[in-house]
Amino acid sequence: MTECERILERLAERLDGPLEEVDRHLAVCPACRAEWQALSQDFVDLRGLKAPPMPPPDCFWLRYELAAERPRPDLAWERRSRTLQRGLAAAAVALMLTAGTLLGWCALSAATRPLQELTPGHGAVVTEVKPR
Amino acid sequence: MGVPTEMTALGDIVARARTGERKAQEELLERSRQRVFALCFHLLGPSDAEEAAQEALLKIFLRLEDLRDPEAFFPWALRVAGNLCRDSLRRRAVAAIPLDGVEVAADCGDPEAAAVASDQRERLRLAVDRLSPALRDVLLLRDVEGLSTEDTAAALDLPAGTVKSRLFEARKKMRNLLPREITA
Repeated sequence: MTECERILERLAERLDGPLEEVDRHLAVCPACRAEWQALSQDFVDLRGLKAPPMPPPDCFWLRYELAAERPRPDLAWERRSRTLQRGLAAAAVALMLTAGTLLGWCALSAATRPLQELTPGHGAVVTEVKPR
Repeated sequence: MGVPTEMTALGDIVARARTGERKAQEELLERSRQRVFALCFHLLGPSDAEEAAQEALLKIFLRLEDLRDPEAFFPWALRVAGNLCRDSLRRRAVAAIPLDGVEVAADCGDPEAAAVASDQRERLRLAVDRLSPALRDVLLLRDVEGLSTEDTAAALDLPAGTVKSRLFEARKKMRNLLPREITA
């Protein structure tokens, strides 16, 4: 990067106030100085894009009084209520996950249990195989 | 004890406005309405700016008691207004608001000079329109409206460092977007 390119990169910063290194270069480099003058003029002209003046608000204080008379929502209660709702939702999800895991585990262990371990109470037929 | 600054005077007005003193409330409205309007104007566009600014100002005055530090009134008020604008933008799902319809102070005097000034504004407006919304919002609030970094950060709900970096980036892009006729 040339000295000029480096200085031109810093012109955006220079718009906020003097920068020793940049100013030293601008004093001796006519091309960069011309660029700086054009840029700073553009940024002065940019103020022409300002918002127009706001018209006086219509019946502002009347609207204010009417709105102020309405009971204000209790923000602290709303926050607490939201926290409680989130907590309940999290607890419900946790409960469902636990129940699902337990059910899955039961089903899996029942399916993989050896036949002889099942008791008659489960409706299974117990057969003993005696060695001959 | 130091000389009262503009900020301490503001803090005093805010404190009195909070007690319901109408004169102080009116003064605070007078001091803040143009900044709030300018923010709404640049974020929402000219057609919705006035209504949004009125709504934002109402909200600001109704919530004045929530403000912890009366001297931080402007960043707080601009944050309230900025949030309202962002909610409005989300509802409309509009990402970019062109500057069409921007009205500027009428030029008086020499008609030729007025035409040149008008061309220059158009040239600048087109360049600003070509920036991304993130860069454009920062540039419009800082360099066009002259808000401080702190106020801009509050209005756009950004850290001050991000405002500074976006501002420099926006200015660099503007330099590239503005054609020059320089005879060096």
